[in-house]
Amino acid sequence: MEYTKINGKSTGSYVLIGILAIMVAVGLYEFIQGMIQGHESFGTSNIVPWGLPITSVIFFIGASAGALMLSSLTYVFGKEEYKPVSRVSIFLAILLIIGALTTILGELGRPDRFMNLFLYGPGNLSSMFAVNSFLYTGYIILSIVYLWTTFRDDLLKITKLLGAMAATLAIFVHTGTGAIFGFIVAKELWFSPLLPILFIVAALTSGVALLILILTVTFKLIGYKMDEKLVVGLGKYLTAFLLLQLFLVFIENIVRTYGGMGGGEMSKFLFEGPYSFVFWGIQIIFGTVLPIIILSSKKTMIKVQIASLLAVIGVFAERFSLVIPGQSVPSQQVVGRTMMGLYGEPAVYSISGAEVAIILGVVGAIGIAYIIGLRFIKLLPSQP
Amino acid sequence: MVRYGMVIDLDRCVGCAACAVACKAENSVTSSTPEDYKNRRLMEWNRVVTVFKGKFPNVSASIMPLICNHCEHPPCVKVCPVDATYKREDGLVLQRYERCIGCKYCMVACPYQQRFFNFYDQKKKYVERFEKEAEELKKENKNVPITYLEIPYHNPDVPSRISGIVEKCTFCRHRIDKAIAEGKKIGSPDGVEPACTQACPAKTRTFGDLDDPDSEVSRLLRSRRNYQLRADLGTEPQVYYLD
Ligand code: SF4
Ligand code: SF4
Ligand code: SF4
Repeated sequence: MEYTKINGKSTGSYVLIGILAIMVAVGLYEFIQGMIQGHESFGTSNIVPWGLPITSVIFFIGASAGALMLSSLTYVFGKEEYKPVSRVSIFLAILLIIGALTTILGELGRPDRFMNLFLYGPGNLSSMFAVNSFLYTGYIILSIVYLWTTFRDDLLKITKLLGAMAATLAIFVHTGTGAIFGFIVAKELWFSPLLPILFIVAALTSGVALLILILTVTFKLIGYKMDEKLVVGLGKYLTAFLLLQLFLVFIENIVRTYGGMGGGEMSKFLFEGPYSFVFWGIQIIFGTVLPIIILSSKKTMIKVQIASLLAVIGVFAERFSLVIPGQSVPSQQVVGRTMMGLYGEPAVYSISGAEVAIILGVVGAIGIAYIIGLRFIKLLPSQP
Repeated sequence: MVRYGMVIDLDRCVGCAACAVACKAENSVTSSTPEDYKNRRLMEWNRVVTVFKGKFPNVSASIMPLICNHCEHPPCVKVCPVDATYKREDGLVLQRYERCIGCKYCMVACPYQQRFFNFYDQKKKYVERFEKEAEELKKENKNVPITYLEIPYHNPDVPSRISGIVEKCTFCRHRIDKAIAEGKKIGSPDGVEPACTQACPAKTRTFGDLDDPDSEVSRLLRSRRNYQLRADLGTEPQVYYLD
């Protein structure tokens, strides 16, 4: 199969780059402000110290791991029909993980000290953050080498090996990400052995869905024809992942409700609290059930696209309902007794402009890197 | 081995919050603004809360001072990716401020909400506030107190904290370290104690070495029924409550 670069010299592409650059500039401004002034303009508090940036970090990492695992369909399992999109999906996986790491910087109170992670991280490998910073670095390097070998027809065997290694590492990367939350005994909505598995399934869902969206839009913009069979094929995978995800979410919540840890306060907050619309409305109905219904009818290109969009939103909502409501309720200090007044009340996190700007800035940077990548690297299949 | 701990006798506590004020002054913990209160960003290494059970009129409530439990198995130490939070030989859970990257992982991991994030630079904020107030006083042709123009008081024994890092109760480590250096006795009732313990008018708090069978804390734990906060989580707090 032959690959080409895109021309990318149209006005449209420059306008797009311009818009993305503005997003980057605004994000960068807010990031520097946060570094100088502190996080006063953020929506976080001492009860909910992790806000929207962490939500997007795990979303980006998930999408990256999902996209990389998908590329193994071609390079490891030899499914040639997905070859046209496999190379670009590795590229996207690399961009997304780098984007995720950049977003973490926006969330750190002292991003100027991030090197400490590598200096002192090995000193405390019981921290999932420390372990992950090494996992993520290894994953980026391995993926870049893997992408490079796909350009060499004489290295087919090595590509296969590296692909398998990278996909395995992707699983560990996302297991590690899930473990950041799953290991925390203090939070009832987090402490669960199922969480890393749920993370991987959600990663596959968001990876496939995001890939479908980005690729169909890219092909449309540059005037290439997208093979409908390919999209429908990916749609089949999406259906399977969505069903699995729904099942896991169901199991997890039934255990929570049945067990009723901590008087069930936290699950009650998730199901009935101020963010319950995110859980029921966006995550379950809009983001999981609706795309499953759409996909269960005869799949066409446009249907798969709509379902993908919904699934991406759904996975983001799933991340949100994990991170934010998971922290909102102050845990009991004495079992069975409530704290009076403000101390016992759940803290409501309100999304702040600064945090949104930082996230959009990262999205903009990923977009620019993607367009430039398409222009200078042979990532897309040439048209017949 | 020394293992410092605290025993809090809830029967004695009158809920005056003198300990909370003493801690703020001793450790130069930033005084929170009304916005901080609204945004749940209070810096309270030491807070006095009321816990209750039941519905009116069948309520049982107790007033409880809460501080960092200096857990024997501290989740906050386990999760710190840069080893900034650590457990010292003598049982104190401490933090290297200059190393903290502000990831806030320890905050979500602490089951007791005993860690606080510096959303802004404490000193800078004080100076700004006092300058503004001095400005207003000048406009009204009033005298500006000299304290407004000087750098606000900061206990020279404790390091100041910059924005973007996390802080918490240190069991007044500066007092303990000083006492060790000067060879003084440590622990209630006649040795050096943390500020909150010293300030308590009802002798609610007792500080001392849990490993020393002759210390006041050990004696109290032997003689009275006691419990730790959320012992079910396996953190093994070193702050005990009597009731
Ligand atoms: S109470 Fe919280 S901050 Fe203190 S040692 Fe235990 S886990 Fe750490
Ligand atoms: S915020 Fe600081 S002390 Fe807490 S886990 Fe992160 S680096 Fe460690
Ligand atoms: S021991 Fe010291 S730092 Fe801890 S609450 Fe008491 S006064 Fe504050």
